[in-house]
Amino acid sequence: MVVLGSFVNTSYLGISSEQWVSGSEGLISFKWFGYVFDLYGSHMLFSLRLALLSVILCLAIGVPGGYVLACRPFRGSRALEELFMLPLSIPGIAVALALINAYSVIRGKWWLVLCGHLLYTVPFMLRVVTNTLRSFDIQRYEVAARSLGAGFFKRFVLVILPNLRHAMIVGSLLVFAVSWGEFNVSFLLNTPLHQTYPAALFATYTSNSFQVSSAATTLFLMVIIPVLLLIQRLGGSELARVEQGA
Amino acid sequence: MKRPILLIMILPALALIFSLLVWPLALLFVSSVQSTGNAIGAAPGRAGLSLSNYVEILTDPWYFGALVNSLWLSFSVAALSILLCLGPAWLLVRGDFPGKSWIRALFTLPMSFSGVIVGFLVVIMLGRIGFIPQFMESLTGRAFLSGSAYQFTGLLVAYIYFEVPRALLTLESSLKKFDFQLETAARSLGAGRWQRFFWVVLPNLWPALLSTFSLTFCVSLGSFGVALIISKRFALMPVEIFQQFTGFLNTGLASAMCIVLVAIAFTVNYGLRMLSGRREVPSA
Repeated sequence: MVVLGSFVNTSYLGISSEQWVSGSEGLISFKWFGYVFDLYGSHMLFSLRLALLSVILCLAIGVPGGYVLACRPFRGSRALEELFMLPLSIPGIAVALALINAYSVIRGKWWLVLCGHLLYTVPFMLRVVTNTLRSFDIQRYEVAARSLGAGFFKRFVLVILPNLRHAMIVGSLLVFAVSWGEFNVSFLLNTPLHQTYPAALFATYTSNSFQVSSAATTLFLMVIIPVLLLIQRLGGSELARVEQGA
Repeated sequence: MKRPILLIMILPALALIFSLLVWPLALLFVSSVQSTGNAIGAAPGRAGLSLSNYVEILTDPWYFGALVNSLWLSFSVAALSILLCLGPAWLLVRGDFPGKSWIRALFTLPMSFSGVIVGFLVVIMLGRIGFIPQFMESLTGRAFLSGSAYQFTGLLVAYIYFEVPRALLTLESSLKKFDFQLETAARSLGAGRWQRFFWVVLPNLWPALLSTFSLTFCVSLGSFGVALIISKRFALMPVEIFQQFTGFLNTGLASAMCIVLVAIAFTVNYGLRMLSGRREVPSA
């Protein structure tokens, strides 16, 4: 077991050292970074905007929805929860094609990309929220607050939400990371004017020089690695059940 | 009194899933069973119903090959990543060594790198003038593994690269729930190392293995970015869908391929879940 573990470890380190290879290309001279900013800065901004919007909408959709699913189960709520998790196991390209097929009228609007991102990010928020709510006896808190005369809204805002703070932070980081790296769905939904950053990366891989694509990749990693490390730090291994799609 | 409020709270999620997943997939199915490859956005119901698209997938050697390749690749990736991760997951749960959290962070880092990135990294490492072939050349004088990024090996490495975090995390969480007293009990009854592993640990871990398998399988099946970058001579289903849709404007066939993929993913996901649910030991 130890041997196997260390073997995986070294092979893994070998693979991940590619990051440093690509990074060193940019470190020798930073001009490629400027070039990437000039050429793909708008894509980057679009992706950032998309990721932030996804976070906001996921909070708005996932937190109340997760509360209902976890604390007020009704008939068929388990099945519904399964349905919410379904996008994660469905090929992204199928979803993209289905969206284009169903909403061809609004194809070319940037918020169709957002719709695709939401499908793949809301499950994370939902799962983090429901996991947290199920991990302790939230009902008792609610009963206590109720006995003190707190109405539903007061309870939700003053009792439930503070308890969900950690989950909401971790969930937001997850949503941000997923949205920032999402390629499967967004590639087909992208419009000529609004392309996500991973799609721009794809463009550099296929039709630009190696230095440019390395610099662009490094920029991509520079955004996502801190987020992922933060998730690791905050969420630890509770994230295990919050698996996701590539 | 509470009902309306609860309904309002869950309504956005419901609207999202039905308008963006259920309804579009239903329409996609409709367009896949139409006899002509109708252009996108054309009124459905124009042509008669037929299964010709599905027949084409199954009879055309190229498309069927792509399907078989996709299934085979996903299967081997899922199996290999479980095999690779079982040991490290065990170590992360049971072992205690310095830098453990760092190692876990390192392992789980590529979780949300998109496929294109992974494809690019593999090309850097194993491409025609990749890092490893050049290293090999400087060492032995021959560029071993040169260009292997574009073959089955490269795909395998790339897919495993981003499946390792998923497999590791799911396995770790289920190993954590494993009651290690069972193993101690078996040991006290005189069971050897392998006996314990095969008769005590493995049956208890079976559901976890199945769910990890279905997760990694489904993710590999749908992964698109890696394949787009490096499957040059190797037909894979997602790339075929992409080409049918954007290159040949054959929406009917592309939809049928999507439906096939969705059906496979769905079956694997729920079939394995049910299989593992039945075998789940209540205490585990």
